[in-house]
Amino acid sequence: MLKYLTFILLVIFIIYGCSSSLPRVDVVHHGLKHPCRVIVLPFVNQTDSPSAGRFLYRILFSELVESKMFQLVPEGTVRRFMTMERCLIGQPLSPELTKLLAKRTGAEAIISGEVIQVVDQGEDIQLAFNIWVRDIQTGKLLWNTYHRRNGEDYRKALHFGRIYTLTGLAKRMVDEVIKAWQKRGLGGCQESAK
Amino acid sequence: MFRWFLVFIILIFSSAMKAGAQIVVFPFEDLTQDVNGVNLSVSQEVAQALEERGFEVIPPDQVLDFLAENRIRWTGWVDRITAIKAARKYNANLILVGTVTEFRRENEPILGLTLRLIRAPDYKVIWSRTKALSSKEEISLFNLKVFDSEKIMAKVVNSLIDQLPEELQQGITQPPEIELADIFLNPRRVQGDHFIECAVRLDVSGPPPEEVFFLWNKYKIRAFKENSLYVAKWKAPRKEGRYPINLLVKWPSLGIKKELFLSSFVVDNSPPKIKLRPIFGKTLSQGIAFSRSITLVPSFERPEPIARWVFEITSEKSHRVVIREERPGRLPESFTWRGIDLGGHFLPNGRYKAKIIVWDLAGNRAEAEKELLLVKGAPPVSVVAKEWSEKIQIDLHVGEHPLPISFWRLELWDKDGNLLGEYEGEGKPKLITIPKRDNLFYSLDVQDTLGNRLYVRYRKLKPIILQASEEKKRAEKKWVDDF
Repeated sequence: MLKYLTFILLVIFIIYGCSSSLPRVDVVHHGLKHPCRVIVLPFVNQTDSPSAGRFLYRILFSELVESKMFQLVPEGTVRRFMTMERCLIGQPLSPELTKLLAKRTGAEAIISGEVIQVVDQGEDIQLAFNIWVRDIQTGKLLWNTYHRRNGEDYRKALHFGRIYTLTGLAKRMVDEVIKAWQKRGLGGCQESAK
Repeated sequence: MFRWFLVFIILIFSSAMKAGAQIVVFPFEDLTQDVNGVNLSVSQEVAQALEERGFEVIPPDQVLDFLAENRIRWTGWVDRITAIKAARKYNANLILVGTVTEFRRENEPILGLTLRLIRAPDYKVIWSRTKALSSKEEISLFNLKVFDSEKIMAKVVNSLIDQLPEELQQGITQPPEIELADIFLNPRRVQGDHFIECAVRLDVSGPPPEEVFFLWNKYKIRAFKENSLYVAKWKAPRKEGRYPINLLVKWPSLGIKKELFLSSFVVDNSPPKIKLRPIFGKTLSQGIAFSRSITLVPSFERPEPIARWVFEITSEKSHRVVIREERPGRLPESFTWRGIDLGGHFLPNGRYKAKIIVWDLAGNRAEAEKELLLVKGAPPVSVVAKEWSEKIQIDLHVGEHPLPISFWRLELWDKDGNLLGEYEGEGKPKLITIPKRDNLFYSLDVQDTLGNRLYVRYRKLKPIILQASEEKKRAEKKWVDDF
């Protein structure tokens, strides 16, 4: 009897520790499935935290570089273009400017998004965001990814696994998003995909 | 004077110091302050940690002047122009930018940091990592160890730097330098489809190269190590031309490769076009005539280096080689022949053939010939005088001589030394008729077209008395009748 109880408890622990709400990826348009060279734009900030958009943008950029999934247009190139064309970062680009940006940078897609929720109160860490991948030529949304997690979600046993920093949480969530894209065969240069 | 010398030494020293710089660390962006926040302390900590790992670093406090000079008011990113400017100023290839995403020193310290390494020459983000740590995550046994902000910072920074690409760490700390100690390329000029062998000896500071290639005309030939040499062999192309060879040295484990110009080879399938040009000789239909010596000058239509040559003279009559000389290296400016054989003996007049054979550095053979006519000595002229009852006929008889007479002169004198007549002309001598006179003397001067000269002075003319012989014949006839 004790054996069965121990086994059941272990299964519960494992399920609790490993189960997670994976990022929800919705493929909207089936046109461009494997954009390779992409532009990452700072996120639109829908929260009270003033630098949340820049914060998530930095972490997404860093994780995309680490994953070697895409060829990223350097931030300086995009910012220089924005300055030249007198556009504000965070504001949507007109289709003409988007095409011009594509021509200048050779990018195939734009990755942007919005930060929906940021909670950083002591041990309560929460983050929710949307990431949009658009075809730079047509402006059409290719796929959308929504993800929402808190630090407690990653606890495995006792305090182990729990995330106490917003940066750590964002990094972990972005990693999950990239893995979900890879699993669905979305995006990425063909060479690296192989 | 001493002051200038001191300035010179300082300049050299400072440039040497700069030559080693590899990473420029820009001040970090600090999102915990606001979107335009700057964090010097964390960036300084990262710079110091990099220095401790053996990297050559331009720390952020030194970069502040550069930012001010270029009116850059942002951190966390760098545009292409700024990256190139900074790289040139600090003689570095890499620029490190970073963002402090979370930072709290007191009350459960916390640090979140993301770094991006940009390669300035091609403006590419080659590496990026993010790391965050809270003291709440670092729990020691019985909670004895206290994780303050310093420890958290050190742990985050070290963790990030540990993740730098291995080849970057090794390559920056020990960049191998190579110098060409010896180059052996044989042959440097080659005929198409013939083999070329190339060997190099390298002086290397640091680890020896893992792979060495010779690059020419889009071909990549792997070199094999034989003792201290890297050797490779390949077939030359058929198409003529000069082909540069580059040396590619690779350290794949360090992610380093170096390419430098080595040498070049020439494919040459065309034999040299050579001519023998005579000087001091006279051009006749039989060849180039000469008496004392002939000088032959070899000349090329298109000058090129020569590997070896042979010069020989053959007698046309006996088909015997009378002169032969063979040497490696370049041709002499001219060949002079005095009509003698190898033993130094004078050769008889006659026709000879001079031949020059050359081989260029690629081994292409070419030859040129010239017909020569050796004419030594004056033209053999004999004076034949016939005397009749009232006249004397003088005939200048020219014997066998390969060259025509260019000039002749005959002077007739009496026994008292009075000049009786002068006769001269160009070309073949004419028949001279003079009134009969006894005791005549003559002087004769004859030259052939080469200047070979016969000069006879004041010799008695002995004419053949033709009348006397006729009378004798008549007397003999009479006797027969009487008999």
